[in-house]
Amino acid sequence: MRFGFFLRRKVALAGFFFIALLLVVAVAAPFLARIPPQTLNPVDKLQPPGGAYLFGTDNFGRDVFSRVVYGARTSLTGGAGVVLFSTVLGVLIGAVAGYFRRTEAWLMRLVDVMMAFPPLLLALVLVSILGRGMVNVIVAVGVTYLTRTVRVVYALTLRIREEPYIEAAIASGVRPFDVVARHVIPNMLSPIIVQATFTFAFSLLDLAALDFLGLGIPPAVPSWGNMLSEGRMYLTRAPWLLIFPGASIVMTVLSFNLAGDVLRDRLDPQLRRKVEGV
Amino acid sequence: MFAYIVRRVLSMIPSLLLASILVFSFIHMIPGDPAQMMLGDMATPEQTEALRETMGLDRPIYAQYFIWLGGILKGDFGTSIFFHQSVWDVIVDRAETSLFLAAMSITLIIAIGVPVGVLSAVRCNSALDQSISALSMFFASIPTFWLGLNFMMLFSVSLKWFPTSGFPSVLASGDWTNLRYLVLPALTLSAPNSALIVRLTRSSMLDASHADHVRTARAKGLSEGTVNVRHVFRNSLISVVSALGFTFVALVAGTVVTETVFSLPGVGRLVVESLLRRDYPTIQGIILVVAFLYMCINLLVDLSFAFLDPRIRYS
Repeated sequence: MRFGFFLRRKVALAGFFFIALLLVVAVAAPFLARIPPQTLNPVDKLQPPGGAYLFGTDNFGRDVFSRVVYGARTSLTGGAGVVLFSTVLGVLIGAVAGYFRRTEAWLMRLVDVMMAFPPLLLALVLVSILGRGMVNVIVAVGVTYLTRTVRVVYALTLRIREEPYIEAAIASGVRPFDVVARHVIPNMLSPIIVQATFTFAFSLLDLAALDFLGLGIPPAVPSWGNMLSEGRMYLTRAPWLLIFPGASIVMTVLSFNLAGDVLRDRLDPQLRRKVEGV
Repeated sequence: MFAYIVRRVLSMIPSLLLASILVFSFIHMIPGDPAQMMLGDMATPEQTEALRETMGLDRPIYAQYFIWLGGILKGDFGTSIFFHQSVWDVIVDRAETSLFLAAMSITLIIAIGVPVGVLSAVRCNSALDQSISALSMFFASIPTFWLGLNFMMLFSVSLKWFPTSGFPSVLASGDWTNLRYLVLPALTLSAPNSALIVRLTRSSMLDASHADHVRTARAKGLSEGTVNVRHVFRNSLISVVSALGFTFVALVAGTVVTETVFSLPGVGRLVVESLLRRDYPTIQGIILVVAFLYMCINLLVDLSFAFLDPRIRYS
């Protein structure tokens, strides 16, 4: 048992380390990538890894390494955008629906109905409405995670509003809005942070899937999903076009999942079941 | 029980209406003119206008909604812009692939996910449990399409065990060996979902194992196997079964991606193609059918609780 515990901590540490590394790579992308990711070099197309090109080149002769490096930027921006969108709006809507009971019935019904649409389908339709582009894709995927965050926050609000300190706040004359802003929301920060970490992890998979289906970020932007979508045609001839961006996605998602597990154990052991069902 | 079922079925009606309004408004927000799409670039404005009139596109939006809804109540989902045939027929044509794929995947998910999760919980914190946890987290972190491409590279291209893509109909040819075309897609689709079920089964088994009656069962000398199967597992079943609702949603999303990777003629790929072709009636129909199925599955899941746990009585 002890052995397992320490092993888990080591692995979790590796997750945090990889996230930190990714942040550095994303920020320092222009310094790390010798060749700009958009540079076409048809003479050197489909070069295998090694030699002049660390990760090889694609069918336009673009450097796979720089595209992977800049892809880290795209992925982190996308994930952060989805988390920000779904968490901020989700906390607002969930807390309002849970605390002000008059709004509850129709808000939660709307959320329930939205959940009857599979997230990826909803995101695909939303991208079709809004058009391809970073912000639009973030909104489209963000909406699908919004419903889940609303439900978690709503359930938490229902529990917190019965606490004695809320009663005390109301009795001492705090306005309803301030009760929510100062007493309800701050008391559910830990589960929200845990939920946000998992949202980050899984939204990266959805963002990549949208890119792959041709309804994500415009193809010119270097993203891991776009690289896989283009590299698919060269499955047998140039497997490195699939290996590097694919492994990047797996390691990033894995790291955020590991980090989420640790945060959950640390911050809020009781949340375990609620999040795992989602 | 019967009264409960009737009430639940009735309460699906407002939800379905709301769903239909949402689907209809979303699809009509997609830019582009269906009449123009249908006729192509060569059409004159007069022709387009005439077609808009026959399709009812010149009517106000709420009128269009009620015409659409009225049609659905009569079993008419409209006409596909691309295929020039009824949306329902288009969906039914593609349903075989998706249903076979989903059936194979869900079988794999339950057959792998539940036993492995139980094993992991029974051997809690052992090296085996650690490896299972690590492996399931790994599979939950893989993009479905990337896993599919890797399977294709390994099992179809290198080892040549399975065909790379496509799916010749089983029902039309009567040749059940065609199911081999779906083995890799089903594996792809079930891997991440099995991983989630493993994690869920494990944690709900562990929760159930802390109950008082489990301690009593152990104290009165029941064998470890009997305790685990009859007392712990039975009580953890509820959370596992309720996860099937989520699994259905994940399967639908998964089929969209997997069918694209393996070029399968299924409903999932039809969604993406229809979106790219701006074939609104088709997308509308598919999404509404999927939402309806989801609500039905959730109802079945809720009803199954009464059979799984005699303490639950619906009235």
